[in-house]
Amino acid sequence: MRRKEGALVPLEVSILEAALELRQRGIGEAHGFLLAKELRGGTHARRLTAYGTLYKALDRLERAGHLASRWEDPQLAADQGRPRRRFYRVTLTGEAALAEAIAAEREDALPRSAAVQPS
Amino acid sequence: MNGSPVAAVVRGWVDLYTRGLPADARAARRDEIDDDLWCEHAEAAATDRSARSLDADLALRLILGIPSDLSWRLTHHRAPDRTILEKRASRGTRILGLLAIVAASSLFTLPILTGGTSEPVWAWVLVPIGSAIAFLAAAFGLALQFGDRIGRLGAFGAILVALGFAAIIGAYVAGLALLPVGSAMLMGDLARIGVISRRAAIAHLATVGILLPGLAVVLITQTDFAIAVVGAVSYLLSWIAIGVSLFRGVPKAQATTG
Repeated sequence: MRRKEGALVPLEVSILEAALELRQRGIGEAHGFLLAKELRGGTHARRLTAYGTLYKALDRLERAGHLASRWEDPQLAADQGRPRRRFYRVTLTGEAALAEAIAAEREDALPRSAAVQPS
Repeated sequence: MNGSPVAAVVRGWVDLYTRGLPADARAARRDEIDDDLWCEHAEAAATDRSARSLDADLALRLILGIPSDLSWRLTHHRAPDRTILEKRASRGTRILGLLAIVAASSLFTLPILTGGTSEPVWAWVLVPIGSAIAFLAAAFGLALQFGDRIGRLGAFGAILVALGFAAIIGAYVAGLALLPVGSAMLMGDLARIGVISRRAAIAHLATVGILLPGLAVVLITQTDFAIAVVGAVSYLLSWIAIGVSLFRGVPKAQATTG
């Protein structure tokens, strides 16, 4: 089934939720692995999200303007002896899209009969 | 730390499916996966997780993500057309390319000039020294030309090339080995920043891998030159290939004015 143009898929909703959850805990920007861990915690999954699935979703969210990213200072990474890191943060557009997706999900969850008012 | 065979396979896969993309998009995906691998290995080490369990997780994350990798590659980053692939050859990179070609190809004239004998002496003196100067200029020129992006590996490599050059001038045969070691480091770093292809750097490294044992055999036996000759010829050919590649230009994003 093709998704509606611009609509968030469940993984993208989860990523935005995870990033906002981290932000509430004082982590305003998160890298891919941290988001994957947060997603695993949220879904109680045994494994982290697959590389391709995770980074494709992050790429799509950024292209849609729901996430913004920046690369850290390479010197910082070099000093710590690790690869350079890309940090993502949720944008205002992302927050709005998430709120919309959650609202749509709630609407869908309502029994069809309840949505039809008796005359 | 994250050098497990499975991690290498993950990196190899990333290298494969990002092939042909613009250098910055490719480097971004590669670095992001590299960091993810690094984090997962670091966490495994901190929690005493077994290597087998970690490898299984890495393999599953790789396999389950392959359809998304392919879809990402096909949907969002179509292979660049000729306009994007267009290279820019600045005067600086052209000169450096020529220096590399001259440095390597001049040594091929030695057998012609000398006919395999020790005469004429001038050829045995001037050609190697001229070639060494050209190698030194090419290596240092590359390090300077891309000095704003080159890392410690490349800088140290250029220094080793210089020491190798000094060894040639001082007729210190064992020190000659520093030149290929340094150039392999430099080429590796230049490939990292996209100035030359990764394939060219690997090929260059492979030739160094033949040349160094060959030189060691010559030093030990003083008679068995076969491996050294094969190593030297392939090493010089790889320099010529890199020189031609530089002469044709480097990807626009990596080019510098000169």
